[in-house]
Amino acid sequence: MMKKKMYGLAFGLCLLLLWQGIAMAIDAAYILPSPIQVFKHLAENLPELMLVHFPITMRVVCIGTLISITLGLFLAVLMNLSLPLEKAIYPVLVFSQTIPVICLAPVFVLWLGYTEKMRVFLVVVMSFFSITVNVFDGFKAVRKENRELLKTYGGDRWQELIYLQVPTALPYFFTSLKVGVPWAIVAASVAEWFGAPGGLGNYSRIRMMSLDAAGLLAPLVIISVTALVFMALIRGLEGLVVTWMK
Amino acid sequence: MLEFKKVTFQYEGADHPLIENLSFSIEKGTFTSIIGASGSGKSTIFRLLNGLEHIRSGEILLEGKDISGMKNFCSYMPQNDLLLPWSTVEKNVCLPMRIQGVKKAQQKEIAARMLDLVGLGDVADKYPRELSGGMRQRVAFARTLCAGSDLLLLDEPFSALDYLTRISLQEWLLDQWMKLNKTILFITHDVEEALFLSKEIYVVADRPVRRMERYEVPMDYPRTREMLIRSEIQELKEELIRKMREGDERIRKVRGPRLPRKG
Repeated sequence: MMKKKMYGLAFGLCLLLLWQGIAMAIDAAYILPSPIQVFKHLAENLPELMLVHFPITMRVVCIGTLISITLGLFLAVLMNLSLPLEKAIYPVLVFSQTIPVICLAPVFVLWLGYTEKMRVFLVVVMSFFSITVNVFDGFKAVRKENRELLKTYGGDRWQELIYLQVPTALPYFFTSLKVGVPWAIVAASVAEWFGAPGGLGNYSRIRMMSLDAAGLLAPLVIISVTALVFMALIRGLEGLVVTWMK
Repeated sequence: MLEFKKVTFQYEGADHPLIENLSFSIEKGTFTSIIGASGSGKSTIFRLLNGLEHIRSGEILLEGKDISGMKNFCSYMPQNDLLLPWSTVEKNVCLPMRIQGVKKAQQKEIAARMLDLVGLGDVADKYPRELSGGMRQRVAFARTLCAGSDLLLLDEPFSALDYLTRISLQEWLLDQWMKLNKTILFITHDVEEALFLSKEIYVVADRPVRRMERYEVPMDYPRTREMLIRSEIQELKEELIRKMREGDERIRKVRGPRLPRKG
């Protein structure tokens, strides 16, 4: 395990060195800043990034994710309980995912203005689908034999949902969070490019306009680290809840 | 106790009935096995009893009353233990009672009693993955008992186990039956298992199933494995195997390329 991680770290380090080498060869920080320049910018502006912009982005990520989870679970339960609704909603959901939602962000700006609502809306649209589809697939993954056994005890649809489908769908739910939450962070940052009073995406945009490429990339480091921290938290929570999959 | 009266059943989409005008009866407190080749329709008889399928015509009577509309009159134990991996042994055993709305304190008390009965009182807090195959089947049996009815339907419960575990669980089951005063209807394709356990054996050897041949096993309880080597038992064994083979050939001739269900 350690050895595998060492290979990954070594390769990552090689890429950083390559990047550093190319940046030094080009010697034009406004086109390609070196990793050292990016980290230097990050270190110098960390208080502003973390205390001013990070909370703005995270607020949108958290609100959007909570709404996504609620909406995603609601739709999954609805489709699970009603076959006509499943047949009506599921194909539309799948089709909606062929639309590059991020490109629709300007339309959301038209509808909701440069507001927090617009940014939350984009996060929800980007991340609820994976929750709905994964949880719904989890509901359907219950073994037929288990369903039949429950029926022989006199169990109804709701009891099947509570005693069989919800526990079966839990690992699927955590998988959907592992996919959905990084998307939520990306969506919140992209939404900020279009206009926001602050936030990591907004910071990148402002730095881009002043040709400060290092400043543009510095928030991306925070975004990546945040996504990794969220993933670790979700994995930890999954380990605590889904004990039977160990 | 249980009576099938001219029962006819056909799976949806099938061209012919699987069961046609079938009549047989089971006495209260007996251990009865139904044997037959794979696909003969024996599991379907259980599906009709536990409400997973519905008869087309005829009647199934329990103590003289039609079972349609009756609830929880039989407890079903399938081939696989089907224990829920996310629940402890105790919670698994409580499942039928939770469904039936039994009070929590009572559930715990009954579950503890049943687990003690099957010799697993000390594993209540363990998870199914921590148990051996034989222990899991015993937990599944305790769960079946917790469904609370006097008629137990056991559908090849030991077929997935290794030989030694299987024969020790057969002895254990016989012991349980003698203590519990329940009526057991047992499906198997293992003739020796049926002979060792049952007072009477029905052979499914027709397609559609119109009748089942009934054999009484000439052995008293309690039984030992040594009793199986008696000449009359050996003769009965050969007769049952012959009947099953004939049935299998008949079923192969009649049935189409696709069977809607197992059994």
